[in-house]
Amino acid sequence: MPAKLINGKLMAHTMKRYWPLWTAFFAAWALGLLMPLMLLAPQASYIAGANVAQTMSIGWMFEYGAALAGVTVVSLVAALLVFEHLFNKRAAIFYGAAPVSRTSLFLTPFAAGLGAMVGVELLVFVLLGLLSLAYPVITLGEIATWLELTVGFTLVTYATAVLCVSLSGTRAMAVILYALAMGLGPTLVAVLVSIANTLFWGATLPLDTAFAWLSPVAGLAAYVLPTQMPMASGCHLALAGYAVVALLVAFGCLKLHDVRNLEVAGSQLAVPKAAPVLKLLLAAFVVAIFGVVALMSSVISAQGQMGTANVVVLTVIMVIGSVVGGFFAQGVVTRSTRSLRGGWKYAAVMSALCVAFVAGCAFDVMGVQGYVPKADQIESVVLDGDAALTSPDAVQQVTELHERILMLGPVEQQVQGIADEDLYSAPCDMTITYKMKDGSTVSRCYGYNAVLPANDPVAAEIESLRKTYAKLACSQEARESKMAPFLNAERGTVTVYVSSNGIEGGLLDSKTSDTFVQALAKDVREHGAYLGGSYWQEQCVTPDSDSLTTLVELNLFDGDKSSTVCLNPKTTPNAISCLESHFGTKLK
Amino acid sequence: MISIDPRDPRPLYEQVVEGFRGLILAGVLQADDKLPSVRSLATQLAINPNTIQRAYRELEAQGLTYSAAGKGSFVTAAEPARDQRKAELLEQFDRTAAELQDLGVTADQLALRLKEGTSS
Amino acid sequence: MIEVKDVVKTFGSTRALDGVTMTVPRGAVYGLVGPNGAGKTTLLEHIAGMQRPDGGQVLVDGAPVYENLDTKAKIAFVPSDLFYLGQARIRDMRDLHAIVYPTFDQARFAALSHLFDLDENLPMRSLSKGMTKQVAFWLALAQSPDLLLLDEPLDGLDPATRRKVWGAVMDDVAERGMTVLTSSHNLRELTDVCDHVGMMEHGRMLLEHPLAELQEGFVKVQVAFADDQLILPQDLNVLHTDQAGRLFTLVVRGSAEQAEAAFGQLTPAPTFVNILPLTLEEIFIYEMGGDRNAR
Repeated sequence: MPAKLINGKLMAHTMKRYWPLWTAFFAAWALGLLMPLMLLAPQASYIAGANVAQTMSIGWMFEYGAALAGVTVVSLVAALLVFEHLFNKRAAIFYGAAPVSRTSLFLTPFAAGLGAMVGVELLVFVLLGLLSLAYPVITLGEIATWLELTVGFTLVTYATAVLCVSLSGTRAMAVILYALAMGLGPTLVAVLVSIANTLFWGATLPLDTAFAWLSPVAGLAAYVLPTQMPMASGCHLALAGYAVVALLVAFGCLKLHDVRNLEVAGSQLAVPKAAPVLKLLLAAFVVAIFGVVALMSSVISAQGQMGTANVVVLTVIMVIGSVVGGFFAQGVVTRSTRSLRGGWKYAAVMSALCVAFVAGCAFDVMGVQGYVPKADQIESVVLDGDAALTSPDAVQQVTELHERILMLGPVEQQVQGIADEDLYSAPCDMTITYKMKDGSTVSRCYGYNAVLPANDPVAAEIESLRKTYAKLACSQEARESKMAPFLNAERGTVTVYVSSNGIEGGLLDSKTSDTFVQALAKDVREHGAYLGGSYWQEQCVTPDSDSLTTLVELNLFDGDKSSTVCLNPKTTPNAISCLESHFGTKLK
Repeated sequence: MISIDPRDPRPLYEQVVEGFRGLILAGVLQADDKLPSVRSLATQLAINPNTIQRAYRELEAQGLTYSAAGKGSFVTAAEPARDQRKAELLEQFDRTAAELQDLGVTADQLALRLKEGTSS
Repeated sequence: MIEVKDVVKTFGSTRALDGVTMTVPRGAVYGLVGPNGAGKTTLLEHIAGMQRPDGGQVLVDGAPVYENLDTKAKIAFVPSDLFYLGQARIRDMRDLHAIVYPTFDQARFAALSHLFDLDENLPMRSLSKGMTKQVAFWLALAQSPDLLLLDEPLDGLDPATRRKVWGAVMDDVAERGMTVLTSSHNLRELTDVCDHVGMMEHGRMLLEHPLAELQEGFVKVQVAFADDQLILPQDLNVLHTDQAGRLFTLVVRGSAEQAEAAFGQLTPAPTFVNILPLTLEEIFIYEMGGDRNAR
């Protein structure tokens, strides 16, 4: 008989067999999406239109992430159930001896699980469609988007689950691998990237990118789930990309299955040779947890540069984590406590790596922390977001400032009871980004949030550093460079939003916005207006570092660029008079 | 119809042959009676059909049965079976007698024994 | 029907099959014997097409059996532990077999039910080990396979049931010429049903013979001599010697006629000679070299 790719009868049999799971899945959608919509439907205002529908339907569903979590879990359970012959030795023998090709033996359950899940989703889609015909609580476009997202998400999580299942011989191991892939792995990656940053680029910067690309869930959540409807084209593409990768992964699993020794059903790993790699991964993950917990519980403080006490404490914690991790990994993968002793190998390797890392960071082995680029190799410097300085004089001053900061070194907290910032949002109130002539970028950020006694010379130096930085960030060159994108933008593309000072309904119309922007440009050129202020400070900083009263805060939106403008009579008279004539009141 | 003794060290086919021989000689199976089919006997006794086949061929070789094409095996007339048995036993008798004579029993003693034996 | 040529299979660091060669003729009932760990189950799994050999060939009907769906459809494999779905009843397993095996016949299954005396609505979980094995046979026979592979199938069953089950198997052998390959420790039983025997040890085939040849190839000789001294004929292949009082018991390779002739020509002649057939168990033990247990 010709070898069929999918044994239809067997697929139907498998799907029927696990009906409780599909029913529960459908029930979840019904309770979580259909019913709330149905309950709200009669009350939906026909007039309010898009906003109301959006709030009630898809936006909040995915914001809360319950749907994502549900699909993630069901995908795993489905894969664990339909691929019984990979976990159950007796099933392996039965299906192995049966007149079913290896390909069909993989594709049939694969299709059964995916088909059932997508089938449920299509059913929900149809019901939503019917609902939308009756009530305007949700539009067909929104439903289509929901379907696209859900099916795409299902495909990705299911493919991941099948990969984990293909690498395992026990369900427990498959679950562990899945947990690693889904959420825990990215934590590890984020830590690793942080390490790389610190060792090679010299700055510990916020890291959300790593999460996104390594974890299907986080990635989809960050890049695909729309904050607005309809979905931006980039989201469609990203989703399509994920779907393609998912299909490739599934194909890879098919090939893995072809060469799989069915006898491994019941033993932890399908590829016993991969055990050391997995054990190292698990141990590394445990160490990462230890490190993250230590940082978040403020046992150690994490600023750009580490003090000695922190280094010691961090090393100790990570070594403990390595030991725990090594034995934990050994125990989990070999599934016995008797061979636990073998774990010391991994504990030792992880400990060595940790010590090397900490030492590397602390002693700045790569020399990155203390590196200041040569002024003649710098093309431009960006301070504080958008302010780009290109004149050789300014660049020179920046490098000198940089040297002074490095000479001061880390400043230890001396007054008790002040909380430290955690690793992922370092208090960078001084950011320096060099764009080099060869195209590379060097980024640094420095901050001081230690509270010092008033007469401390160190405190005076910090104050001086900040003022020098502010002076450079507020220089005419900087101000004009910050203003340039807004001034050079096409008419009608810049939006102005006025907040504070008791003015209602802050969004200016297009014509007034344009007028305002022109007035502000005049102020920048003629009166030295400063566009932008330090985010951490509530008051505007001007070139002569006198603190001025905040009159009005304005945000200029130009696509994805925004800036704050502090108005005061001395530096922005034109802008103020423009607003006063628009609102008909005096600004205070 | 016949049974197999698991503890009998003789080959199975021999036991089958002996079993049918006994039945034929005792007159339980008479001339032109049909023996069970190979299949049914193999199923009933739970032994290999080839064993049954071999036994039936042996029975035929001994002249106790004949086979009709497609119909099975049948018992031949009793006479030849009895004759054969007589011949076998006489041969055994001769051997026993020879051994007894070796041990010192005379032919006359043997004759006497026979006479007395049959009369009492 | 089955030809296994120099098959090698390694699992991790263990060489489960170390160059096995075996031939099973069509229509034969072949008994595969050997100690635990000899590789019998692994070999059966290869013939069932579940495993692919690392070296050598496993041919059924002249073609490799692995991934050969036409051939596999004609093979029924009864493993030592039957697979069943968690909550399944007997009839659910029947339905699964019907889906997977094209020759599975529901009518045949129903017809065989008188043999097994089990209600098809019973949950598999509630069955004893013996009953589960009966179900395994039930399903296999309903498939009417050309080749029946049995892995220690009747362990734990009572004699009456064993007889019943073997009877059904022999029925198929007689009726359809089904080939049977069974592994077992129960040599006593194999003597009844097999016409071929193969002995395995350490992943290799030690010897392989039609059963009749095997049984006629070995004899036990009980012999006694006047002066209580054992004298052996030349050219007699004596595998084992034992003594109890004046009686010597020998295990000899050769036919009964050969042994009789050999001792008949011996001078001085023994005072007592008795030639007995060996049971398969005894042959097995002596061939394995472990004559620790029996006589």
